Amino acid sequence: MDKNEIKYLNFNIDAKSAVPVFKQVKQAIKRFIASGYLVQGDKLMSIRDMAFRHNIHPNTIVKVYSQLEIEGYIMSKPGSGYFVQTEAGKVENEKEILIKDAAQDFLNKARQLGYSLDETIRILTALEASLSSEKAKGDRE
Amino acid sequence: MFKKELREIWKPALLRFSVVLAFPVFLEVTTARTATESGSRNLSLILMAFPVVMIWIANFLGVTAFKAEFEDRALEYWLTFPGGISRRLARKMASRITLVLLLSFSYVALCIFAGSQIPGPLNPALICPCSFLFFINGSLCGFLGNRNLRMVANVVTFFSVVVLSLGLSRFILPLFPEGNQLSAAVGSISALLIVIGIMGGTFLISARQFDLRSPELFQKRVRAFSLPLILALDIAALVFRYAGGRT
Amino acid sequence: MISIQDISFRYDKTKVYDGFSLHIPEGQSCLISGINGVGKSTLLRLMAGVLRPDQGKIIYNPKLGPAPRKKIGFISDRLSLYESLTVAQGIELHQSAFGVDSFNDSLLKHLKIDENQRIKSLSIGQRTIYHLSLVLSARPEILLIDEIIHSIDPYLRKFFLDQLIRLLSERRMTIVTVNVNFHDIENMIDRVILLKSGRIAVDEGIDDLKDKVKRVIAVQPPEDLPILSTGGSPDRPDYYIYPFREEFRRRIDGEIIDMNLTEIVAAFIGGEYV
Repeated sequence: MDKNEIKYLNFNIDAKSAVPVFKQVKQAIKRFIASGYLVQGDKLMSIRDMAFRHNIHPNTIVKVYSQLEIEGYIMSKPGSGYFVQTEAGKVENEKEILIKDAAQDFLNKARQLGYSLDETIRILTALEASLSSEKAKGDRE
Repeated sequence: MFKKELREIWKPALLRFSVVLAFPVFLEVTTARTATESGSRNLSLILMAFPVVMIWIANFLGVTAFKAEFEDRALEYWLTFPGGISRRLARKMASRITLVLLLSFSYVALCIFAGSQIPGPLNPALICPCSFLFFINGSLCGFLGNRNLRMVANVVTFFSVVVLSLGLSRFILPLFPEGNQLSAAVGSISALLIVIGIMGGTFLISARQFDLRSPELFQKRVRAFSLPLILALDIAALVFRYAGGRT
Repeated sequence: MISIQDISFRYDKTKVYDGFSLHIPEGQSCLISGINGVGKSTLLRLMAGVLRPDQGKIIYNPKLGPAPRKKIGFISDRLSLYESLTVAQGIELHQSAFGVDSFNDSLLKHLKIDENQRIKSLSIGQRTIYHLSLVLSARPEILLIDEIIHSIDPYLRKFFLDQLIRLLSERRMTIVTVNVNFHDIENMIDRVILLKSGRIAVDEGIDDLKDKVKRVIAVQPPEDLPILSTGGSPDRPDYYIYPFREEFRRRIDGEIIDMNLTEIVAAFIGGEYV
């Protein structure tokens, strides 16, 4: 893939969320890096294009990119743009945060609905099994 | 802004100019140059018609000064233009004032050409200031948003100049033992200054803030105060002029 | 930067503002809202210089120079323009008045606006984009926008916002917008100001506001909860809480839901807080 081709990042800003817009954008980009969709050296959308995409004030995107740069997720090449910069450790860390968040939501829901931990684990195992068999079926076809 | 204003005024001005001067100019051009009598008569006609058209156009240029702002709903837009009040008004009126000056210079040139044939009251030294004052008077009326009121105010002030100068003539005539005509002109200018003073004063009070509210405020005050005052002065002038017999 | 200092303003016999002050720092993007008729458009017109305060003053960033209006872009809901002029003549006039020498006509071409047609013959959408193009061509540092977005179709709205974003990525602009309808522009706003009776009822950053206003669905909310207004249905009411504090979470037996800006403003208006 041409290093200057920009990968399209598909995410939506939740206007209802109390999470500030800049944080939502930041988390989205981190998710794409953690999932492996964005890899080392990938070029990010320009500040302007990112702002166009979601009707966001360009200053907000500037804030996102500069924070991500400070945190070491991306780096800016003056004149060229912003590029993904990943370390294996950082990606692993991010993946862990993401999966823990998802698990937290799932556990909360299960507790709300009144399931015990054992029952919850049983549901998980059954789900995993059916997922694998579907995948196997898909591979065969 | 110069271009825009010029675009608005050149056709109507030219039209009025042509309408009044067409006939005398036509006569002048077509009459055989052999008889100096008819030549000078035609020239007199032109000389009499020119001030009329000058004053008419000057007044017209004033009254239509804010036509676009009111009828094109552009007042708010114009108020966003940078610069202070004076600067904006000057830029707006520039082309109109230029045209009034142009007509004045043309008249002066015409009079020089006519040589000694100029009758007293048509002296450019009086006619040119007069037309400029009619321009100012027209502009004051032009700042009225309501079209009918604008027309009425223009007619009333125009008419008042005549009436007031009649009233003033009783004072002024004794100052000019030689000429009735000169005094008439001075009378007109004085009357004009009175009318402009009243309208101008009202304008200054209303347009102090010079914002969207000004025209409405001005309108109210003209209706309630200025026009009635001017009409009252007219009546007083007429009474004064004709009471106790003619002089 | 705009600094409104202790202004009073009267329209006919009504005193709309009395001793009103507001400071908007440079580069801030500010939304002003409130019920219809509260005086939002009047405030914007005062900022634009189209209306002048009877008392007090309005100060702009000194670096704008002695003629600040040169760098102020004002798009009013009246879309006031010299209607008898053609599109091209209007551009020329604007350029000479504001001292601009270039005009980007790509917007007009895109909307198939013929430069020889009269401005009065433009549709509202075309006129809005035309007015916007004129205003933006002067590269304003302060942009004042009054409620025009909802009168144009969604495609033009996006167009309009794209132009705005394009300019914002090139230069620092202070933006004040007056709206009652703002789902498109929510993500562009830094600060929210709600007006009531000539005074500021709410003045918060948008992120703070979203933290402080929550929708609570609970059968029996605690007595001392600061309820702004209620909604939903009688047997299952929503309670809009302001100002919300994190400690409430322990005490509420129900759902606590985040709200978007439109819902938040509606809650304020519904509670007659505004």
